[in-house]
Amino acid sequence: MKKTNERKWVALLLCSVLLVLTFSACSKKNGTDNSSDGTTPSVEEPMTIVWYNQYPPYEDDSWGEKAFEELFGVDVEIVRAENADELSTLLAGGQIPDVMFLSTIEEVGTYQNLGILASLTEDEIKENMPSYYEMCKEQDENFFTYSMIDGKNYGITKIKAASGIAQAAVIRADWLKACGFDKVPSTLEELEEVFTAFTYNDPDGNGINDTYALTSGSDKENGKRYFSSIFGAYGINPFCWTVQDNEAVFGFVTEECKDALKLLNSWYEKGLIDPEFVTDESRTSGTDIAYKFANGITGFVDGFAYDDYQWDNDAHVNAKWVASNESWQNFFASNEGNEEALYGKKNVTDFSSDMIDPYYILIDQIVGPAGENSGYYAGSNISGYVCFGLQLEEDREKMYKIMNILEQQSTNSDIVVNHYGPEGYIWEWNEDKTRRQWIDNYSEKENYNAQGQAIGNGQCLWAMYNANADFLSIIGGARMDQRYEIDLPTFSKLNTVTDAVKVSLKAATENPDLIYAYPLEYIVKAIRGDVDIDSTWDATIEKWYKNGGTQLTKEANEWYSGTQNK
Amino acid sequence: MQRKSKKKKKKYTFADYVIGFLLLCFAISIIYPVWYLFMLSLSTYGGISSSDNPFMLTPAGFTLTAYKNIFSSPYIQSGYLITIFRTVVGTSASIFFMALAAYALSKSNLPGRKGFTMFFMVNMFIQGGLIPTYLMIKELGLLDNIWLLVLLPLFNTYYMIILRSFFSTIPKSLEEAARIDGASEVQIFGKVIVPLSIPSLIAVGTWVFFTHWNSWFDSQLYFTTMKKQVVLVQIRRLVIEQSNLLLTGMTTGKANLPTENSIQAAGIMVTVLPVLIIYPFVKRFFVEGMTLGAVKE
Amino acid sequence: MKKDPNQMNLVQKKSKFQLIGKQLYHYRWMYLFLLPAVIWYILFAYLPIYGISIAFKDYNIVEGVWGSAWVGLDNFRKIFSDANFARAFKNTIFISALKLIFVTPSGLILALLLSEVKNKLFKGAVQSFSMLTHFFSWVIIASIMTVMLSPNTGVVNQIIVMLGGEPIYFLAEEKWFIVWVVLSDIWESAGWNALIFIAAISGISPELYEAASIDGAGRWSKLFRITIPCLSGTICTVLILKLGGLLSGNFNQIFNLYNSAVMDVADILDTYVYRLGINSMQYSYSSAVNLFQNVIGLLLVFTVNKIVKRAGQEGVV
Repeated sequence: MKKTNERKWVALLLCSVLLVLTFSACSKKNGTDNSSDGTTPSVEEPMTIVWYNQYPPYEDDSWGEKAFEELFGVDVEIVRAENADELSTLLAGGQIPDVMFLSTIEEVGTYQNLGILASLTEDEIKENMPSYYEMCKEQDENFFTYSMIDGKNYGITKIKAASGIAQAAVIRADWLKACGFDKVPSTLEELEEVFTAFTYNDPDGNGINDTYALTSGSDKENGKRYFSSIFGAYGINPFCWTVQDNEAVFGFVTEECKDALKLLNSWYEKGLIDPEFVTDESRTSGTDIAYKFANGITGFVDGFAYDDYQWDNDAHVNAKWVASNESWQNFFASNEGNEEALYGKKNVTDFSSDMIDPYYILIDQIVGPAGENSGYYAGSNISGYVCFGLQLEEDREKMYKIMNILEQQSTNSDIVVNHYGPEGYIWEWNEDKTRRQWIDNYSEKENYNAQGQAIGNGQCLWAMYNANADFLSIIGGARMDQRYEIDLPTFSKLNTVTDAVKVSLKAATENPDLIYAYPLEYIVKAIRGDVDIDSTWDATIEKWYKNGGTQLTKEANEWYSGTQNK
Repeated sequence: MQRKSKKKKKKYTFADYVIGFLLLCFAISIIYPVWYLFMLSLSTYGGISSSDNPFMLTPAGFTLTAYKNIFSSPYIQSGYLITIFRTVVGTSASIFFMALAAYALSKSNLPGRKGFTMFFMVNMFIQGGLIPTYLMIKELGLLDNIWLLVLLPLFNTYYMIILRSFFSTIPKSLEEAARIDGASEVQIFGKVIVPLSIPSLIAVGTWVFFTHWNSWFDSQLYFTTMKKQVVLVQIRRLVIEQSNLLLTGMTTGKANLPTENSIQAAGIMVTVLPVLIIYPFVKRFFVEGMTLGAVKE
Repeated sequence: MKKDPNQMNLVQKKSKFQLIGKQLYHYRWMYLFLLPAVIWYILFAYLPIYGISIAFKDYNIVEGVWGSAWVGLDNFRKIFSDANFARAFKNTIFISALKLIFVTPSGLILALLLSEVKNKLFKGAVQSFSMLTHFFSWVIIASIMTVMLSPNTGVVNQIIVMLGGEPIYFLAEEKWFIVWVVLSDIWESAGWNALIFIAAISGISPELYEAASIDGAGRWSKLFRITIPCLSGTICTVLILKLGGLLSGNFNQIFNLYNSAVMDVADILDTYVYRLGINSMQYSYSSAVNLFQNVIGLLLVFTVNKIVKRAGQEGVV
């Protein structure tokens, strides 16, 4: 009895030990076939491309993957990584994708620094992607220099059609009326007057002093949109490079930034800015700044783009605005099915009897000390970077093949449309087969996935969907017309403030705090009055330069003067 | 303690009320946020924006959309299965092996005891990092193998040392008595040590259990097959996915949709509720299993 | 008779070896019990440990950990020369020390309070609820806190206003921020930390309490004369092990709670390294900081362990 019991224990123990050992033994056999070092396949076999992009399809052999393989005659192997941490671990495991779609220039800098990117020349792009090359060059002569690091090009800049458009500010028309204004404010002085009334004259008429004029999200997501309309009135953005006396200067260290901070600080002291701006979120939460604006906590908001789903509700009215106002819901309910009426309205830049109350007004320009140069922040015309794994340095054939695929994806409408899945998925032809249109309530379909991960449409494999202006409204209808034909022209007339430096700077890769966290910390404290601007400004700027700003500015100017000499 | 409470049943002193009150406050500080999240998970955007109900004791508006969407995902079932598998098997295996090692370490005269302890302890502070560990697991051929979820968190030095300190408080005389009765070392462990350590084994077991249930990063990193991912990975993914979908829905003027926060709250609810249901059963099973193993001869 | 001293040594040695052999045989089962742990630690902990070397290298993915070029102490030099390092270092120690003083005992206090509860149902319910918080990631806790602590609409401030006070912007005021870091950590971890003390308390022999009752001991004297002394071993073990984390703050907590207004007190080493390192995949750099944190932690643990042992308590090693 005793013995058997004991033996049972020994057996259990030994089994578990053996289990571990067998795992390690087996591995030697399995481990070898995992390597994907990109050796050239034989001529018969289709070429295998290891592909990395955001939002990969969940399963292998999805509809999208099969369509892709059939169209381009290649095998595609998708690398699934959700964040940078995961990707870099996969990379370290020896899996360097053949092609990587990176979204920011900082990432390109980082990967180049890690030594995993192949270099290429502008001529190679010209040769293998002729129409894409033409298209980009037409819009921006320097377009293919933006992915240069140390004089070498490490990727293909991906263009975004109809981009570089101002992200404007809007103001509540009902509050303006309630406070007795019959003119839309357009200078900082007028704004201040309106803001004071918004804060103290009870614009929502509830008898409680519970309103503010404005706020902004201090989270990283907000980035360069941070109080950007106010900084823009001074002609700068604190997180962007600007050109002064033919030299690139970081926005944060300019005198204009200091003046703008003083104004914001005075507004804060007067109670115009919602003190919660420190913890406000810019988007995607129940209590973000869009929520505050739509729910009558603030009366002014900026960072308003013509093609942003969350903000614009297809450009004429913010989604949260609709959800907060019954009159708008009734408008949608009563016009259901009548697309022309639903999407016929446009952004108003003045009071208009055409709109449904309550509505808001787009401010054309907020004129500040920069005068004519006052403008709104606008993003760049780059929507990302196509980079190649180091192994393609030697395997030009594969690199050219990928370029060829991307060329087709940006010029052939029948291929572009795969981004939206097969016919009948979320789109269908209209009756006379002249135009593709959205299927009603497609987002409620069972296998619908906003990023195309369910069936493999979407941006992972069909990455160039937004490169060509001809195909922006490839799935047409009133909604697209509203966005691109009614609202885009209004927005494109607005003055902009943009980032003057578009390349990756080594000093910023090494010390990312320099271009975001350090400036933001001071800006928040200055607005709140935690620090006195006049007495701390010089020391703050000096510290910025000392901690790497000098090197950063030097690198920025090296690039900038390079583009000027061309 | 239990005997004491039986004796003094119903006789509450002032101090008892103070203690009860303090604990009640603490419990409320936990229940309220949980309730808040639960209500939030049922609320709609329109409801939240139009309500004057800052305390959220009832849902603002009502929708089950968030839950419906989570449970209609094709991967949620496999996710729960994998999570239950790793939690139950992982916790049992972990406790078994850690208890063995901890018991050995609790022998104060064991030659090399200090060396072994150091060997385990140093690892608490000196680790190779994510990349070498990944490469090791790749070498072992354990990528995409669900046993990895049991194997990788099998040992934890902190827990092992806690267990060891519990074992070492067990009076030596009990062991000696068993030894005189002719019990072998294995029997002593099974019949004397384990039954006397059930509270501590349960405490550490609960830690391991909850850690298993809450883990997602290992699954996400080492697994490429969607069907093998644990439920938390699926829920995290669904929360993001649903929030994206929301914007599409809102652009058609619908106010009865959940907000981003509601979806997130629903995600937590479907993580917490199953464990609240499963845990007591597992715990009982655990207790019975251990006492049974100990008594059986 | 003359004895060869060497020979005598040999005899002694032999018997010593025999003794050791006997000892080893005596404990053969214990070694078998340790075997799985040893194998596991070798495979999953010690074989990958060469990864530490990237703290002294300029890590390059293509070259791998082995192939990357050595840079000596450059990464460490870079850390210590950075302007914000000192601030992060100071904040880490300050926050960790506060947590050591307030958070670790909170588990013990909760366990003691629970042990005094006579109603079993109430006791079980409170204990179960206290574990619930552990399911919440800090992303969620932070977003709940932002809502509840909002100066305009938050529950906490509404209560303050009802009681006639002025609303406080807790998360943007440096002092209050730290208070809430500690409070939220207690909230999150008290139930978790209490588990071990609850187990220890239930291991105390009831006879001790009965004997004390007969002697007429009250609640307090039982607490200080029986419960605390019986728990001292567990308390020491927990404290020593926690001390090892003095330089590693709770990244997820701070990262989700902090904002630009409180960076002067909130930016800890882990968040700082995250922004500089992981953000841009500077692996060498972040491993250097990690190594620094851990070596200090290890030294702390061994030092305190010595002190504790000298004071007559059982240490961890």
